[in-house]
Amino acid sequence: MPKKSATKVLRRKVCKLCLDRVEHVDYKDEKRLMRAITDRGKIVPRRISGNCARHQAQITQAVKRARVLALIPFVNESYK
Amino acid sequence: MREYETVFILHPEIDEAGIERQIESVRKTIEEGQGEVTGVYKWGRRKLAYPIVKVNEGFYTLIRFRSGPEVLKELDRRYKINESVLRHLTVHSSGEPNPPDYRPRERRGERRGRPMGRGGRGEGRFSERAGDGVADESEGFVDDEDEEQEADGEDLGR
Repeated sequence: MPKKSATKVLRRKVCKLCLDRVEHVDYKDEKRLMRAITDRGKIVPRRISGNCARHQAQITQAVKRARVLALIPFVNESYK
Repeated sequence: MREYETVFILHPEIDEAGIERQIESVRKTIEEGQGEVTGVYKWGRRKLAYPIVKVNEGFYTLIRFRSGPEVLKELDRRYKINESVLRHLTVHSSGEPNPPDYRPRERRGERRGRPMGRGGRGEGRFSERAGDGVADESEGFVDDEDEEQEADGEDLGR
């Protein structure tokens, strides 16, 4: 529907981490990382989250580290 | 010399003295390589996001240190040999102002429940499980909300 897509285009996504003025995404910050992954445990892509490249790269790195330490799941239990 | 931090997860069946010994041995490894330990932060026993070698909990410790690059190799080597270390990670210290024990206990508990969809803090329960598996099992069959959560943990523990 054209109407719907029009509103979609208008909505401009802003990097939430930039808004929060986050300098560095820490792999220990489990709470933040849980928000950066889907319920399946995948990293939310930039096209969805609207994060800037810098922060997205930091998130990716942090998520991967946190997974190794079992702070956050590789795959959510219920989908295994 | 750079500042690094290393996190390792110890097997939950290791007792207090054993944990101290492990921490001491990491400290020794660092100091032998002319490194300098700048902080030891015990996060304590916490639930793992997924089971590792069939256990669901582990004792987390983070050690911050300053050293040359050779120490990392040696640390890694020793971690790999050591069977009581479930996981380890050594990274260039983020320079974050918050040391790892910045998280308050309750926050940790709250988070622990969410990702796995089951609540409960492991502390007391674990010692029970280690002590007597049979008693715990019968406990798991009790038809009560709280008891059910316990049963969940034990299922995975076995």
